[in-house]
Amino acid sequence: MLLQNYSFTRVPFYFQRMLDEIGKQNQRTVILHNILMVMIFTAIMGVSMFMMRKLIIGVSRKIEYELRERIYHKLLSLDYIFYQENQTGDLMSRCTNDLDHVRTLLGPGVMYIPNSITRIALFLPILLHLSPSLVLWVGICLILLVIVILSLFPVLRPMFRQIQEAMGFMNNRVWQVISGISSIKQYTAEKIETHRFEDLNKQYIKKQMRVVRLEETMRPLFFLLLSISELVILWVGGSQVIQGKMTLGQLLQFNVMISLLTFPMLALGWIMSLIQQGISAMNRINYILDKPVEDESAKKTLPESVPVLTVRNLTFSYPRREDKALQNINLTIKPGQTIGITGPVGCGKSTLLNVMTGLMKPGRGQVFVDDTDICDARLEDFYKKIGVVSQVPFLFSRSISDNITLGPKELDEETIRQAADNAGLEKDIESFPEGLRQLIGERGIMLSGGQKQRVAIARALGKCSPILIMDDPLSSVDSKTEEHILNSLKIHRCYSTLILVSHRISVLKITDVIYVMDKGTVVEEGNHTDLIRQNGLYARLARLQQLESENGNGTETGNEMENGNENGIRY
Amino acid sequence: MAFDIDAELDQDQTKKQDWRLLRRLLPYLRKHLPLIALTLFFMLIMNISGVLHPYFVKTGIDRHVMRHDLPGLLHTAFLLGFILLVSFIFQVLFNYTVQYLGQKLLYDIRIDLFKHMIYLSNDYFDRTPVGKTLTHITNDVEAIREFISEGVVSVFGELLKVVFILAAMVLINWKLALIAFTIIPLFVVITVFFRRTIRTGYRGTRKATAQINTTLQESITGIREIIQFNYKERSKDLFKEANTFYLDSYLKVVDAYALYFPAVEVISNLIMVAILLFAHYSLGVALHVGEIFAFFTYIHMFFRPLRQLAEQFNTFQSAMAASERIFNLLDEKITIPNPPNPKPVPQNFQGKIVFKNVNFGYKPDTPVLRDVSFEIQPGEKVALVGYTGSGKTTIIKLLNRFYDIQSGSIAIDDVPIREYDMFELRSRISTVPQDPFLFTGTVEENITMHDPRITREQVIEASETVNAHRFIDKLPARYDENVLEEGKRLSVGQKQLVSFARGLVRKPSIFILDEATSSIDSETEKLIDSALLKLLEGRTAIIIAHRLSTIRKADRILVFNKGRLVEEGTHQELLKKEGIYTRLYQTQAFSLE
Repeated sequence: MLLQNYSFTRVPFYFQRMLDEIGKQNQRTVILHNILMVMIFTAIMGVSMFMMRKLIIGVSRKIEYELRERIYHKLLSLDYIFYQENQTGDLMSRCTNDLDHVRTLLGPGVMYIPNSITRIALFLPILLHLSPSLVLWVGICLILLVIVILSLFPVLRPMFRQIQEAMGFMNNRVWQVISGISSIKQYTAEKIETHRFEDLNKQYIKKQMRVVRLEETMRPLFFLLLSISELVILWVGGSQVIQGKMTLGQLLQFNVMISLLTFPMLALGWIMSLIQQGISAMNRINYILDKPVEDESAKKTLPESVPVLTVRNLTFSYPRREDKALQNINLTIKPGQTIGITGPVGCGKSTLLNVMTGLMKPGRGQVFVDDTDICDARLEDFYKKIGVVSQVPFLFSRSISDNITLGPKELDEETIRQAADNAGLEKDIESFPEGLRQLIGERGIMLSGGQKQRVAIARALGKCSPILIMDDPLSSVDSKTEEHILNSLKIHRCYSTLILVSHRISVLKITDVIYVMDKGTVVEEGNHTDLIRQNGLYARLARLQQLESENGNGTETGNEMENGNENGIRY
Repeated sequence: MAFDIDAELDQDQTKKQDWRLLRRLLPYLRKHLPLIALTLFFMLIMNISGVLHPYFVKTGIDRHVMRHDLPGLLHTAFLLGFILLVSFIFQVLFNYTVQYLGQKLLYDIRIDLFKHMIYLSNDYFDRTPVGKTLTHITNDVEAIREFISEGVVSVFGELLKVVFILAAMVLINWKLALIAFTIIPLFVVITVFFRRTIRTGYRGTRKATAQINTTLQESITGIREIIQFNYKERSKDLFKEANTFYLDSYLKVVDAYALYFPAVEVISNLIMVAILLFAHYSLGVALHVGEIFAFFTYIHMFFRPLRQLAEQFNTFQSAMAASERIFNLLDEKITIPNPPNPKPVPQNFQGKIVFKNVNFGYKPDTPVLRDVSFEIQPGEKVALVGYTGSGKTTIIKLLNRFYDIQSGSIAIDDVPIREYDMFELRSRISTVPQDPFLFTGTVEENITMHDPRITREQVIEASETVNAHRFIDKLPARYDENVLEEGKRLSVGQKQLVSFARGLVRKPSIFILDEATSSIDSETEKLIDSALLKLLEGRTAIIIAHRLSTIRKADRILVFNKGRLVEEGTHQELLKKEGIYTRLYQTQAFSLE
């Protein structure tokens, strides 16, 4: 960079000399010498300019790359709860737009700061030599400029953040509308949504224009102050020439040099705004990077064996929620057992599963894997042991086989095919032109609800972990397919422990122990026969279904249910 | 993952397309003609005062300083000060109007796009990923704004400057000007070469950006799977791959720019040497030193706008690509149009539904429904039954006119649904889907869908009916609780209940339940059922369910198999037939709950 700026000062110097020589009609050799020097310095300048751009901008891209990797790694190490509390669109804009702002600061920003400063440093002595009093006057103008900039920026900073937030907000809205388009069409909310989007846009523009008003006044102000310095040169310098304190040539040189300084000064101003944006963007990125993460490597490794899962007096609340989602739950799940969990909507079944599978952190001393508190266990080890089919599985926009073979290692085709067969996907895969390699689109858009669930089941089966957990996985599957799946689960039993969350008594019947939950606690436990004998909630459910399947008048059973409710069972 | 870069487009063709796209942007500009006129006026004054400014400096030096005219200098200085002030004011005005114009255009295009998108028929959404449409409406529109409010204006200004400079050079010394002009072809060659590299470079970066965004988006929404399947390391690898591709594509662009700028600088120095040599050998003393000096300044001035133009090329490129994508979306046809003279939909349908010889396939050559005919009487409750993929949900979609049938007819109250106003038709039918979508916003907003006509009382009433009130009441902010995107704060069963309330609060003439209660426990469902019976009194209802209890409550059952209506009747009648229904029943295709 220094080299470049040095060349920048030298080239005009030699041109000047050449010009002088030509004017004097001097020797050819002298001119050739000067031409040579110009060529050399031009070459140096060209190469150093190339290197500088390549290096600094290149490095900024590499830093961006590193930073992006860091953010991504951080995102993957964050707790599940973090994702529950933050909007996808917002996180996305932090990872993309904000990162971009930081990169611009690091690249062009970093390139122009020293560039401008070195140029000013090289020019200043010469200027002082020419006329100290002029420098003083011009200096006052420039200092005024700096003061204006510095006082305006703190005002701009929150505005930039607001704009960035508004942008994220808008992205999120559009994303929602497109994802929920079928609901919108169903309830003919097109007009309302368009109005809401218009409002959002108006707000966004208002915010933008507030910044524009400031920024676009500032930039011409820059020019104005710079031009005023020129005016000062003309006036003060001109007077000095008239008074004979300075030659005309010196005045011209002074003027030329100041004009050469214009660009670096403007660049400095531009950089100021980059710094502003960069800092507010970096703050938003730091929101992610500064989230504390537990140190996984310091945690206990788990042995290879099939663990006993124990839950002791588990009480759990969601962050910032007063009420308890789970209260005083006790269960022990031994290797080889098949466990059923059932209960009404919102009773905490899914929360219990989330806590038991380490997605949400319970307090210490409440959930154990063998003798290890789940808070101390290395989660990676733990997840080797469990395969989960969640209620609403997420599919990636890749191929079916890619979706089945999540996990640290890719599975071989045979295992994938086997898992797919066991999940009842065989015929579906046959119907796809690409078979297992079929790309399924964003969130599996090409698949039906039932197919999605079966891919998720195949995914868990392919993992072949000792504990298999299924959270109401068969809700989109008709009973024929359900039976096929449950059968092949029994036949190709590669798991040891099975935990089933379901509303269907037919499913619960096959389990060893059923936990019936209500309002965040376990109200009944035991196997099907025990629970029938207990004559509680479960028994009532079962009897209800028995009645229905045997003779049939649904309305009557419904009435009976209502009577039951009057007897004190509330749902 | 493979990132294949599109085959190079034919340059000529792209150019033509650029013009076509620019022409399509014109209507948006036309709408703001007064504003544009004002902007141009500001620009003119700004430029005139800008050009005058050096002139005053020169006169200040030539006339006053050279002649030691101190009062004259003072006078010129004042004039200059005035000019500067005018220039400043108009610059501010100009900048402000230009940005305002940009924002206005952005607003217009974005709203147009949104409006068009939201009214598009379902087939578009079936085949288009969400992320794609999203970038059109957000980033692509922004790219056009950037181009208009920053690009076009500066390009215009820079071109003007180039013309001025060229003119000035010819006026000063045409021979030297000719020498200087020899550089232009060289410059053009370099720029063309540069342009080509940049074009491919940016195409790569756009692909890389899309790749990164998709990976990121999926990792965030699919975080649960990533955690539970120990998918982190491989996700990191995949991300790294995308990220590296991104870096490489950008480094190519960086290299091109890094080469280009010094090249221009070197060329400008070379031409100056050439001018000097020419001056030395042929002109000799005949030449004024001042003229050469002026030439140097001009050559420098000449290259700056050209360089700026090259920089602007980037914005131009992405703006053209963006507008192409935007217009593609705007050209997307609404395949299910509203009839030009729709029949008014009565405030309340009787609710008589007739399907007559209906044939339909999402793709015309793969039929999903074959020759389906049935009649549902006003107030009747009908259950649709059949294996997965037998066409039950399709019937519901057709009734809402999300798709048009290939042959046959569908009529409600003896009027073909094609003749009704599509939106009114849908607003009289409430469909509660199996996988409800909840929006970011409060519970209440999710139930009303921001319809101002629905009151809080009605919301609570509907919630109580479907038994959602119980859990909503326990949320910290009750009906004002934000359920976050896709209702991730609620369980699946709770979401179904909210969606149920959403359907009910509208008091529809026809009520359709598409496995609406699959994730709801049977006791809650029972409670809903009994309340529903009262509510559905006198309303037509179509119910798709796997639960026998639900199915049996229907007045009539329609059994579908492979897109055909195969049996109909009550539960007992159908059992006697010993057909598919009996088989479904025996193989426990229904859950017995």
